[in-house]
Amino acid sequence: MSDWEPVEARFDDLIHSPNRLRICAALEPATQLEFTALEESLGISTSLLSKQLKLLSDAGYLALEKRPQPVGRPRTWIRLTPRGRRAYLGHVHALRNLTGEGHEEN
Amino acid sequence: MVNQPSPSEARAQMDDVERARSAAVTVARRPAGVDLCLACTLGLVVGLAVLRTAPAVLAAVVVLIIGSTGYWVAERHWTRRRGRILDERTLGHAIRYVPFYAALFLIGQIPVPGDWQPWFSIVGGLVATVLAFAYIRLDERYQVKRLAAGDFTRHDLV
Repeated sequence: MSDWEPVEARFDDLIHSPNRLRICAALEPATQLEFTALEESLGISTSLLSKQLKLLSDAGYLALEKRPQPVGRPRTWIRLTPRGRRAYLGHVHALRNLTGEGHEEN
Repeated sequence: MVNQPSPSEARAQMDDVERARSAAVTVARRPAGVDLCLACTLGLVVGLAVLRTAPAVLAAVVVLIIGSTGYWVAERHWTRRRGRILDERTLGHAIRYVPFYAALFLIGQIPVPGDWQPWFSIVGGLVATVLAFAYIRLDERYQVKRLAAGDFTRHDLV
């Protein structure tokens, strides 16, 4: 099954946490996001973001990639994996069902 | 096992999802400076091309190649920070910009008396720059608006 196929409504233990849900939501329209862009958009501390990213990454929901820059420190790029996207969309689908918006396509 | 939230909690979480998505799209928005550089490049190309001399047209081709390559690199860098929507609605939206292309085409077709140059070339280049910048920014705004609103399906995101 690819991440482009329809997903079933399913609450996900890991994504249920508010910060992790927001991280996945921020990554949904992105092909990749740079760490500082994610930090800036969510307005959470570096340490908290790193901790949440590690949890999601360990579960296989996110892929983190450090890339060297011509100048300065390497930057970390983050993207949802197909598994992570399915889990996130399934979770959002379940939330939509609860709010009565469950008939929309994810 | 997750305790299922109440409908009001679920609504609050969905609001959080929408805010986070919108904030990420806004942060990842392509800088206007990049678009201005491309618009200036296109303006320069048009300005050189309407001079209608062999060296000017050759220079226009060189500027176009270098400018397009630079923009491709910049575009690649920034679109990796967020996706782009490509669906039938996007294509339909693009048709609205046909007058821009038509204006650029007409600038190139106007027969110019020799003593109007280089002013015609300068004005033509400036008009092309403004039109190109307006087109690029309107297209970017359309993309940002739909991405921020979650107004796309998974099939449309490239």
